[in-house]
Amino acid sequence: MYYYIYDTYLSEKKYEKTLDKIKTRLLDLEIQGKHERLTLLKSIDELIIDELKKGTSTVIVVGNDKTFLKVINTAARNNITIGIIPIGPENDIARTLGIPPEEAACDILAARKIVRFDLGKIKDQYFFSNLSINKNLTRLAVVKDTYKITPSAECVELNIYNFFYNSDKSLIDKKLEQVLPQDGILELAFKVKEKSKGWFKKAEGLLVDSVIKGKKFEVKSFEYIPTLLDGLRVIKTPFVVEIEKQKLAVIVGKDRLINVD
Amino acid sequence: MFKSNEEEFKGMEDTVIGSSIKIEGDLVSNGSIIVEGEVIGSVKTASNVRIGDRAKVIANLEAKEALISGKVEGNVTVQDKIELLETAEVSGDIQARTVIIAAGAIFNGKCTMAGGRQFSSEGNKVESEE
Repeated sequence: MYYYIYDTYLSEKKYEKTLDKIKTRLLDLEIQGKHERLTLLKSIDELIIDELKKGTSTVIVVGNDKTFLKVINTAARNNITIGIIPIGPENDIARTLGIPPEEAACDILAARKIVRFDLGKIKDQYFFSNLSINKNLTRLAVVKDTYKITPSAECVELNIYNFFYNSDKSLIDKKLEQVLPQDGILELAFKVKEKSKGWFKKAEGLLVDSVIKGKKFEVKSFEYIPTLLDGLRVIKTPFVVEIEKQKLAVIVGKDRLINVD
Repeated sequence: MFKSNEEEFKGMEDTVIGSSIKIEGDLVSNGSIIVEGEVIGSVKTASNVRIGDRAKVIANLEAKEALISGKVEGNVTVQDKIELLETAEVSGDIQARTVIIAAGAIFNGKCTMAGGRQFSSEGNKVESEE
């Protein structure tokens, strides 16, 4: 049985017609199920776990990247297949996975092409895309196998990537083209500020300065440094980050921008 | 045959040690390595290693091929070719099948090439296995 979760922003009146069209299309395709709206009072994890007990094995998020990333943890822990019906802006994940917006996504769901993705793991927390640290970098060190990496003051951001999902390929730093979500490898990246090229141009953006591949990294620090998982959840250093192969089942489209099977 | 410039290293790097980080310990990789920062310890790869002109490496290097334009203090052992560009500074022994040293490069050490011919950095033949 399918369980459809609608993000809170879809309560806005402008999305009413779109949601009606989606429901009609789902009915046509006979992939109906339970539909539920997120509210500030209900945790997405609790909702999914309640539905799991009733026999749900597929969760479809109706929303954007953030909605999708919110269900990763629970889906990975409980072996649930997830899909997305993208609506509105900030839908780079859906575009990368080849899922068209709004009711066109229903056809992709009906075709049910499932691909398994690796996930990054820190204790019992999973992340789909990356973790990032952008404070007090000089107070931490990363240990990999037999060596230690220490960032200098020049370094402004540390990321550990599993999946890079910016759908505009021109914006992808060449060094991050190697980030593949099915290779069983994490990419540790250190970024520096992009230097301005002219007298009047302001420095903007970050450049990838270093990339180190690995299956396991230990981030050490003498103090707690906040770390953001998938841009949503905050954990603190120190921690060990590992890759868990083929942990998450996701419904994808034919026109996906990444080469996954 | 060998390409004599940096092109062959581009786009195939697996590990990039930029100028914003420092590595201490034994760096072992199957893929190619680019060093633009600081490495203390040892570097070993089955593929190629490139030491950039801003890099400072205090380590023994082992690789298939090496392209050096920075500072290396340690022995360099490569299976095929080593190329020292004009900004390179190598203090240590080199072992390789093919050695290219550009004008301006600084090399202080002993050089052993496949076939058993061995030369000091002054160019004097010091040993032969024949």
